[in-house]
Amino acid sequence: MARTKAAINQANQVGAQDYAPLELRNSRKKLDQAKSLIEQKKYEKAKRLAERAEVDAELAEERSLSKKAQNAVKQLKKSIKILKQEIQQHQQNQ
Amino acid sequence: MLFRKLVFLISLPLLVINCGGTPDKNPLLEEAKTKYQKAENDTLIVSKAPVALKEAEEELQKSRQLWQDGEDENLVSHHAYIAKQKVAIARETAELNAAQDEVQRAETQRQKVLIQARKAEAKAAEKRAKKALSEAQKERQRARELARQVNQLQAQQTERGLVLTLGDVLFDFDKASLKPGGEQAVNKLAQFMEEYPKRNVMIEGYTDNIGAAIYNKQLSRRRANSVRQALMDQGISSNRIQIRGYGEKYPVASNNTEAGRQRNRRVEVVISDKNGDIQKRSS
Repeated sequence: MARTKAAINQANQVGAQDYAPLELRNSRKKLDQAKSLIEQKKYEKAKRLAERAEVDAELAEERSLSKKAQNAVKQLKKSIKILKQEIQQHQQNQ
Repeated sequence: MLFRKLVFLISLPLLVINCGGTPDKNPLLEEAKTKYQKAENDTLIVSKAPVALKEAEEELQKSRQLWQDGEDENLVSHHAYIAKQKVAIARETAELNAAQDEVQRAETQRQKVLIQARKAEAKAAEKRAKKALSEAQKERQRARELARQVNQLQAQQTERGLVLTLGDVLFDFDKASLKPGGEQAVNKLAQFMEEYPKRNVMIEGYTDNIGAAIYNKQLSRRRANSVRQALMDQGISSNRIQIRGYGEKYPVASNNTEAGRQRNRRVEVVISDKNGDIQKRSS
């Protein structure tokens, strides 16, 4: 359970709320369900649900990181394109 | 009877789905298997996320084993779900690593482009410097050329600027028309004015004190005018040329001797500064 919470926190920190909101929501939902299962003393079921929640959070984190990196690639490529255009214009103006 | 028919209708699609396979397949396990197989054949995932893929495989293996051992379906599904999510994690990891590689490549490229830009800028600056240098050289050359031309005109540097003196030998006695020698001097002046379009001239006629002052003044003005006419004939614009007839005023030598009088009979051409301005006679 603690590991699941840590995984959700980590996902949150890398911006999963924006980049992988669905996965994050799945994870939280499962964690809540696991909590209520514990109250019902269904420990084995709760443990499994927490494990699934953990893997959901891990996916949310990884997806967020991946999307961010891909955005960075796009940004960089765009800036290179703009730079090249500026150089070309500059040379034409000479 | 009706109930039996209904059961038959419902079981029909189930039969279709199950045909050719074990009747109690776990759908989540099947889904995880399919996804894993797809990932296993993806070279990007195999090369960029081998560890994550291995973890997914182990989880899938666990699920399979549980299923083969006839364990609880929920437990089989539990591991199948984790396996499925791990496959997805492996895919994201691979894409993340590929993107990071791409960022590095792009950063290198960006640096190259920046260096290129700096080189281009340096080249342009060098070009500008060369241009400025050659312009300075040209300016110096122009100044030298002016000095040479002024020298050729035999103009004198005075406090009013450059003054070119045409002696009276360039005019017939009591006439205003230029002699051939005078024309030559005027041609040189016209050439000079053509080359230095910002320089204007003031043409001033002077005489000795023989004869009536009023007549002398008119003669000096006519002589100045014929120099102007000669310049205009050479294509110099009239608004660059002013004339004055001073007569016997401002002698440069004594009128008591023939030599002195000869020096007083003259036409002076005052050349303006490069702004076209000429200092007026104050005295």
